[in-house]
Amino acid sequence: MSQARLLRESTDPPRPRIATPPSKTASPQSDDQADCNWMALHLPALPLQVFERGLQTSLPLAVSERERILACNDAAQRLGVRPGLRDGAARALTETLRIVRRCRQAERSALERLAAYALNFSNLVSLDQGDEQAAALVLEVGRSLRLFGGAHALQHQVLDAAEGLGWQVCCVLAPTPAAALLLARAGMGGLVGTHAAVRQALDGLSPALLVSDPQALDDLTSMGVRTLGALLRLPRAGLAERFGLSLVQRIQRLLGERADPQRPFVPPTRFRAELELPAEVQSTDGLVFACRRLLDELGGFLTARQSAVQRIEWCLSHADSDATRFHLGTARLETDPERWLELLRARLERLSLPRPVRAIALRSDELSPLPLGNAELFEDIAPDPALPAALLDRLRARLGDRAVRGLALAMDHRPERAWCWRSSIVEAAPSNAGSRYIGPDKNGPLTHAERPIWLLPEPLLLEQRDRRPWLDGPLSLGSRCERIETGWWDGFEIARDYYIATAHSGERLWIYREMRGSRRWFLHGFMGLPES
Amino acid sequence: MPAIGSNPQTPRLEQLLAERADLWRGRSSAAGVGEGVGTGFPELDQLLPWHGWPVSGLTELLTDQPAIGLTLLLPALRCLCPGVEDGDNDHCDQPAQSDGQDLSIICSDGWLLLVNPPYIPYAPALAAKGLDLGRVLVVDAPGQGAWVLEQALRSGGCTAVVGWSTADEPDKQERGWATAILRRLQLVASERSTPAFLLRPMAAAFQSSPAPLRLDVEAAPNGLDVVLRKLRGGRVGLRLRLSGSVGPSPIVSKPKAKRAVDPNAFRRAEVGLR
Repeated sequence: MSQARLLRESTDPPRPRIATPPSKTASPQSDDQADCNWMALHLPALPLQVFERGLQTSLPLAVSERERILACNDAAQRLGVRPGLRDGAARALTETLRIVRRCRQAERSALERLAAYALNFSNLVSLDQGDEQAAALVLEVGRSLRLFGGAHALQHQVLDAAEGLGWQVCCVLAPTPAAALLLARAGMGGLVGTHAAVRQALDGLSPALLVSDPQALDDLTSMGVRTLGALLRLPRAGLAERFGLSLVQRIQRLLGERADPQRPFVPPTRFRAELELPAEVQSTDGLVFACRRLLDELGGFLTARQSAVQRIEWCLSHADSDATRFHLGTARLETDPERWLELLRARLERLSLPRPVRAIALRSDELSPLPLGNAELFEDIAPDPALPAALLDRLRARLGDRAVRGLALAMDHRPERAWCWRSSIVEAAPSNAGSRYIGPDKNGPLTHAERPIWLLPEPLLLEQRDRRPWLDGPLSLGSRCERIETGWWDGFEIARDYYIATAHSGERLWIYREMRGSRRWFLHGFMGLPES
Repeated sequence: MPAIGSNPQTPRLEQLLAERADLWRGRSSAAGVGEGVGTGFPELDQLLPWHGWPVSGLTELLTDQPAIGLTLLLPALRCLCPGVEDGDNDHCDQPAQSDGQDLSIICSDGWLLLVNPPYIPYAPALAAKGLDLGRVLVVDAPGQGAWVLEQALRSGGCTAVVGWSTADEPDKQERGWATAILRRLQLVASERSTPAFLLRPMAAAFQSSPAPLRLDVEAAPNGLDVVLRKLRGGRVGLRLRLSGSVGPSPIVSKPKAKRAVDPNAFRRAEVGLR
């Protein structure tokens, strides 16, 4: 794998280099894509893009390994940085260059997340275990072609998805996994529909793509074999004798003469993703851009697993202070990354970050199977049941969970305890099936005496004049008195005589008098209109 | 000269009035108004061209007694957000006399949003009045009330939105929503069919407001006094005494051209004028 190939511009999406001739027949099942059963995705710029894709703005960036530049982006190239330079030399060239050390672990986990995403396109995805330097995935797509509308359409969708995630990929469809992989690694793209076309495409390529042993390569060169085409034309028996059976087997797999089972990738049961930021980010826009990459991965992961989540956890790491952690929750099961992004944006607006962010991690543990429902035949009959939940989420994301609450009844005679807030996310979702929560007893409220529509958070002590309660004038008490005396067992004992009083203005008030002690009067609430 | 109407080609006046909703009809102003939801007070319904609270657009209730506003709104809210189990409010499930098909839109599921209420909305009383508590959502967002209202109206996830603004609140941001904010809210509200009520102090009465309906509300012995401060295309300055609610009016109607406002309603209302 030459390093030069790592340098492809990230903005330049890989274009199919093997020009598939505009099919001779109009049918999408024409010969040139008849046998495209395997797709290989090669990520030539993985070491660089692991870092670069989280950045909104392009800054000179290079990845180094063993003190040498391994790959660098366009901005760095314009400053004269080239792969193979020593780190020191590159730093001497320019001060603005950021050099990060290659992180194989990040590459590995990024590739696994991409594999999980690729399960959207095929149920058999395998990570290429072979060459350490070449990050690639192989997908069995023969059974997906029809669903996605043919090989061309599938390829476009895969390329779009990869671009959306910030990856530059070479995508090849071929009759055998080995051929697809080899052509993708050669930096090609497109469809190679038949075995004959595979031979033709392999013809001019370097044998180094197939033979990794340098000694064997030298031998081949000295034999005059300079292209793969020449290698394939050699008699197999002689090749086996000279270079071992494994090379012949590789050739046979390449040409589809030998079975080539792929080990399926099994996606994890939980979602974990990290994104390193080579340059620290403070702005909300920059953070949203980076978080979007992770949310898109989450969206693909969930779609592939047919799952949804209600809660995601973010961890923003800083250089030298504790990480900022927060979570987002929704009232409904959610898969759509756009919805999460909207909530995240609202949350970031009211979040004050102590320092710029160096790395972002996203995790979600509790996956629930996606509920399947029937769509309405006519759109306008019923309002979208998702709308109330969406509003709740948006309000909570900005105002916090405690600011947005529902109400419920409680089984208690004390006015302060006859009701409670409902704040749990799931509980607060409205439902169609009569969600009036009346405690354990469904028979209704405990009392049928009239209750105020407003309750004061704390009873208000009333002035007394002529031994009568006074609020901007004397209060005239109604004839009926309701005695509430209970709660001696739990420390909140009350003993009160409640009256409905009418104020000077005509307003109806709910007041009470203590039955013991100083027998003071308190205002406790405001009544509605009297029942007629 | 042939009499008008003898020629079948010449439309009669009644026919025109019945067919053309855009004809100007003087005081009745029933033309071109949207749907309404019954206020629960027949006297008030008769005065309003919507035959109730307007479903689209803001309604401003001005009062210095913050507890009063909800009292006036409760019958309508009960109809918009009915409890399921209670037998006495099943009127919402029955089609109204005139345009029953509108009920499906108006009595749909969604939040009854109370934004910055002055005190605690007391759940036992609301349940006893027939509201579905599971759909009541209380938002405490001092200083962000306008934002919440706008989101709620935009989202389409509410059956009704009630917002309080308090003038004496120390938070200057909240002090009387600026006219620009009200205009914005009115624009959003006029495009949706979510009734939106703003409860504001009397001090806001002299601020210009884009709301098509503004009422002064104050407590009165055994009832409420309501003054029509602003009614787009209608008569203002009338004072109404609303005594205890006579049960919610289930009528949710699109006013028909022929159902002009009863002229006697004004006379009756003027009797109550003090």
